[in-house]
Amino acid sequence: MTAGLPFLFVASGTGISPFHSFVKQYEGLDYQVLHGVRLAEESYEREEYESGRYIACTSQDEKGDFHGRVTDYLIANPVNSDTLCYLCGNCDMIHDVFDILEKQGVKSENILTEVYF
Amino acid sequence: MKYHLVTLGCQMNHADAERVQAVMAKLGYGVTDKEEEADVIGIIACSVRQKAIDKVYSKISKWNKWKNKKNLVTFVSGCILPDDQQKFLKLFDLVFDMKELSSFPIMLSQYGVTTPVSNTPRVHDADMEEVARPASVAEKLNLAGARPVSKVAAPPQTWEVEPVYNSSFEAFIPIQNGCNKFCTFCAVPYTRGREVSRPSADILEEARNLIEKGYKSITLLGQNVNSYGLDKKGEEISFAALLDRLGGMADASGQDVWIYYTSPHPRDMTRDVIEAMARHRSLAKQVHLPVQSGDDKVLIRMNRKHSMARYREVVGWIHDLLPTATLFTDVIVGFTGETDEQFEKTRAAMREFKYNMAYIAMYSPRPGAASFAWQDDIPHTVKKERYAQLTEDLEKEAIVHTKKMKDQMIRILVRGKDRKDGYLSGHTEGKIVVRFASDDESLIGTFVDVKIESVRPFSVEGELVTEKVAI
Ligand code: SF4
Repeated sequence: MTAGLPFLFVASGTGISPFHSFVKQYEGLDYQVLHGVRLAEESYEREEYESGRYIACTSQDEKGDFHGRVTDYLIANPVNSDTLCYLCGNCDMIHDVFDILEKQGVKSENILTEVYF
Repeated sequence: MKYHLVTLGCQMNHADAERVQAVMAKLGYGVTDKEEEADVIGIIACSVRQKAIDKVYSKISKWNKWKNKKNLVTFVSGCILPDDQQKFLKLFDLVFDMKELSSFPIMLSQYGVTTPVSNTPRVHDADMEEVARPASVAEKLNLAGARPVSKVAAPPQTWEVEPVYNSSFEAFIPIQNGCNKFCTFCAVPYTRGREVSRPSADILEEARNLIEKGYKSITLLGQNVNSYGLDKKGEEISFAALLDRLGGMADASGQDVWIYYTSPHPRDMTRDVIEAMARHRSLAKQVHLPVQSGDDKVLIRMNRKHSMARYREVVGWIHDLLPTATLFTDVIVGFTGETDEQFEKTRAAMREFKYNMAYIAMYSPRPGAASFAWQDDIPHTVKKERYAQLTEDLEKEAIVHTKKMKDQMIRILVRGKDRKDGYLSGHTEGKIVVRFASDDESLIGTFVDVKIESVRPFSVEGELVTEKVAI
């Protein structure tokens, strides 16, 4: 596994499901999870991740870790260009995040996608 | 007693049908191509295409009417979505998954059908099951160091039944069933389930038998052949190693055979697959590499899980290692949300990769596929324009290849009578269609040399020069 490189997991809704088994499988991973949900109560997988690594981006309430969409979070918090990015969930979210990451210098081959809906 | 079988859909369904035919033959049924004559009628269905599924409904309503006048048993199997399966249960006498094919004789007998075989004195379930059991499997052989397959009992698969081949010179060997890719336009992962690889030793045995019988064209079938073996978690060889062993065995056999495979996936294709193809003369120099779209964003929406950069890399290996190979592809135009600019990128891909052939489809949502829930927002007229434009682009590229064949002597496998009266046709190693004047049907199933006299984008015509040559 591309040791030492930072990982970014971006999910919308149920698109979060593949990520927790991934982080469990590769212990010691340097990762950040961005989970786009409408309300903070929908961030049901928070406890699966080490504290500080999971950020719920809530678009319809202010009870999450960040108020706004995952795209807003990424614009406010650019990633390093060597980050390996996994995007999973809604296709429109994936397209928007893909554009932002490319603008931030991440190569397209380092952006893996899984369209759920 | 006679049976009639209707097969719809892809080559995988046709390979499954050959196994159903084998079971029916062992049960003592004769085949008829007239459905009115049959005592049992079956259909190998395809839920993946709406037209095919409509055909199933129209056929069964006709057959069910015949039941007022005669004894008739109907069955359906194949690639079926759960929704369709529920409906079929009410319409057909027997509905079974291809994986249950070995139990089909029992189902027929339990349905009260007296099969020709069960008319003989002893009829027990065990005997009936025997009818559909594999005649021979890998454990009989220690093939080229093939590794043992999983120790955990795998679910039964259609390939465990020996097929009746419909041709005496070309055959299809299923090597894998199911798909884990979940392209958003495709229902196959929902109809055929997850990827299951057939033991390599069984594949090698089936191929060896076919080659010994003189088969000239063998196609390995799987939804995503490049992930062959991965489901066995290290207990099975890779697709490249499988090709290498098949190529080695075929080369050493002294027989002339072209071995093909379909379909590979650009994301999982590895350079060693192409290297294996380059190493063995029996591995045909033809690659069918689906591109589907030339635009990265459309590929994301399709959930193809590869970029154009990745596709380019794979085609680069093919050009480097197999300079004479032909390149075929699949393209979908008018996929949900495809803009004019995105379509232009597909046109650019057509020019860049200079395909010999492309199967272009206008997008239509398929029940069961993820994209079925999305608005099919590209008007039909636009899809038709894109289809026509891309076909024109393809023709321009393809004719550059066929023009190079003019005046050349080309070896072909004769496959049958051509639509043009007094002509036979076949294909080159690269699967380019060739026709020539002859009514000598004894040439069908042999290799011949043809001197090419005229060319079109996807086919060429010439004069027969040498009969029944070796490749
Ligand atoms: S790779 Fe995609 S198109 Fe091919 S069978 Fe699998 S899901 Fe369908």
